[in-house]
Amino acid sequence: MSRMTERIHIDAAWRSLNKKQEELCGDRVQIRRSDKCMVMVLADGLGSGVKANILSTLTSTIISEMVNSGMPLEDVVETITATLPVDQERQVAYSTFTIIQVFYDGNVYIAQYDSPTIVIMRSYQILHPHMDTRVINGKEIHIMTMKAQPGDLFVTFSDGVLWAGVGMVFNFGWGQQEVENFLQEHVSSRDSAREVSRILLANVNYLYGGLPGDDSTVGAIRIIEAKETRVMVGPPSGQDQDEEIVHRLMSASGYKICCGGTTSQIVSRVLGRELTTDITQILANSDVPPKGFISGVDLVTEGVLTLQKAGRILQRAVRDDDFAEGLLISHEEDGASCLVRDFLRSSAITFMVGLSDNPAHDAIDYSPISLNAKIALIEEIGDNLKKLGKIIRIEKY
Amino acid sequence: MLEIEVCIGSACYVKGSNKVVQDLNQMIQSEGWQDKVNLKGAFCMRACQNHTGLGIRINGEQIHNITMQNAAETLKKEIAARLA
Repeated sequence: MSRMTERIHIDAAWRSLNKKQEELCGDRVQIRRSDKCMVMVLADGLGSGVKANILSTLTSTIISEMVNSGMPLEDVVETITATLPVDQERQVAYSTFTIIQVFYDGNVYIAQYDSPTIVIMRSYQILHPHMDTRVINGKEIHIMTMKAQPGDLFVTFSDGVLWAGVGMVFNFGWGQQEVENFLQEHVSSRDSAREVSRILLANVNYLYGGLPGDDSTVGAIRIIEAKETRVMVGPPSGQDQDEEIVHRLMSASGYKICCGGTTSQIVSRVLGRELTTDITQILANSDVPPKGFISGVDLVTEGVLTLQKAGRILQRAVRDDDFAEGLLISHEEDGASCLVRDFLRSSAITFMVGLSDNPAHDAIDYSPISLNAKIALIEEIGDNLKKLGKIIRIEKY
Repeated sequence: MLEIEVCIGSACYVKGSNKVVQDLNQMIQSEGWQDKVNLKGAFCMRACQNHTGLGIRINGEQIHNITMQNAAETLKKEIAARLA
């Protein structure tokens, strides 16, 4: 299995403020991730309310799906500009868009149609890479390519952000230059994409006096170092594979995690390092078996009970943003909470699932844990982590 | 010093080894054995596959046929006998 050299990973997030008295937002951001790249599309539908919402949803969904299926960005732009419906009364295209495609090798492609210029920051400096202007299907499209580095920040926003404070704090709104200055002053290099969009929108809301005159949306992309977390779950089917799999675990550039009692014993034996555990968690009434410790391994947990609990936590995290954020700063020390926290701190996670039937599980007669159920559980955890923006791979041995 | 190890693997855990750890900890306190007994967790000792009850070892010797129900009583005797 050959993979492109992964130099970077991507932390991406977005946030919207609705125009006052509107329940629906006319801006829409879609994020898709594949094995090779991430694409973020911000579309701003003409007008506000239901019509704008439907148009921006359509536009952003079509574009992100096309890009994600491997179509070159220019072909996507060609297709979308040819099919963008034009408002009968006003004779303008219904929806504007910004497309940012970031490959894990660092190549970035950006295309913008009728949108505020994307802000690109590298260690507190605003970059102004050359933008090509091309007329495609009668529409002026700005296209740019560049090479991203860890730490780079891309901030795209709808024009509602530029107009913040119009007629109130400012005569003509905030403007591009002011937005750039604000980001330079208020965003630290440690702020996540989520944090950046929150900081910018909070100021937009403030400038609008809490009553936004237009839908305002911010999409932020923070380039982070490519780190792959590896999780070894279950003993490999052939015992002669133990050594190879453990070394693969230890080669992880991110966290090295080991789930399962038997699995931990294998890791301990291959590495020749002692496996210990700490029963104070049992005495503290934890609902999953205690963690173990192996020097050099970031996290050692029990297997299936811990994974089941981690699965339940993630299921809720997918539905509830605030809950997910809280997990990152929680002080829970049981195995499942630690596991989830390490997952959320990772950008790419590879599960190395051992296919050996664990004889210990046959002994649990009132809680049958089959190998298939365990694999299904890991796949479900993987799907939920994908929804949370992680690159997930599952290897079976 | 007696070393008591209790398996905290999945199978023993769902059969109540966590409860046994708590009971033993309480027993050690109430009997005043803090300086004589060291309670710790251990990994699978194959008690689950051999159907010999929960995985429990005293000074390296595996004690068979311990269940959540009889643990407190049986282990109290085992420990007392070894301390005597």
